[in-house]
Amino acid sequence: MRKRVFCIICASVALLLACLCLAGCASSDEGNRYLFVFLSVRMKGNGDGTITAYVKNEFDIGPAIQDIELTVYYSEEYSISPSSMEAVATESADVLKAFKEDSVTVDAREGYYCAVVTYPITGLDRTMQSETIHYDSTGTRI
Amino acid sequence: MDIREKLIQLRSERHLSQQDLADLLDVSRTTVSRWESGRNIPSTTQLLNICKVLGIDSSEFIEGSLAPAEAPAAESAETKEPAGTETDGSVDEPAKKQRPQYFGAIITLGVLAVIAVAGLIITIVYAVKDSKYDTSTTVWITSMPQNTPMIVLCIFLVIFLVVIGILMYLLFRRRK
Repeated sequence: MRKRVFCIICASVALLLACLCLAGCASSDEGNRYLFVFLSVRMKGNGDGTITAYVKNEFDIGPAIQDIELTVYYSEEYSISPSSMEAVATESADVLKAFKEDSVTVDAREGYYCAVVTYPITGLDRTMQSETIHYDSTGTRI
Repeated sequence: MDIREKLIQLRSERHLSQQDLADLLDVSRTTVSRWESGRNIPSTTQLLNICKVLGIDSSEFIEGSLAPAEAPAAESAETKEPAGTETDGSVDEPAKKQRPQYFGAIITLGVLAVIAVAGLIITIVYAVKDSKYDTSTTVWITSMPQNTPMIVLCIFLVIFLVVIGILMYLLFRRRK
């Protein structure tokens, strides 16, 4: 019984990896391709009248992620859609290697802020968005 | 006189070869040979079978005095060993057979425990890190490395499919 369970687990992992390889074979896109990347976006009010957003490559296997763009959006009213918010700061990185972090700082005013990271995968831009947080003019979370 | 010497004496008195005695006891000749050479000792069940087959009292056999020899039993003893199994009857053998099974289970559980603990530690580390910020979002991106030759991907694909095939064979093959 144990042997069968072990074989099933190994077969499942091998099947997953085989599908990954098959997807790689099928893809003809010459855009950025990475083996594995763990990316994070964070935002923090500094309490000194500024707000900082961070994007970090927590871990990767293979080439570093490229063409990262970090944008901070602001709105006086609560919104979860960046399209209805104002882009107040942008920071671009050509290459973001493993364990490296990039940040952008904005002057705080009372309102709602969110941070959005844009990264290209197989030629298409993907986005990762943080929560929308309410800050006051001192950069303190309300 | 120890058990192996008694066994040799009793077998000789009845003019039985090792093969004859093995056939009567439904064990292999090698098993009888190991008993008589002292490499193994028969289990309690086997001793009872031997006594029944050779027609002696089991308590006398064990205590060392032998009852008058009787004709050996024509049929095998009531308790038969399963066909195809070569059990020496050694008391130590079941314990030896159990040890490799437990060892594999312990190793597997150990590896799973290490993975679980590592995952827990990583989760705690990130939870502590995230607590310093007002908001945090993460994403796992999985894709293929740039400029990877297709032939390399195909080779990996074939390897994984072969591994899957072998595992399926091991899973579904019929045991003899």
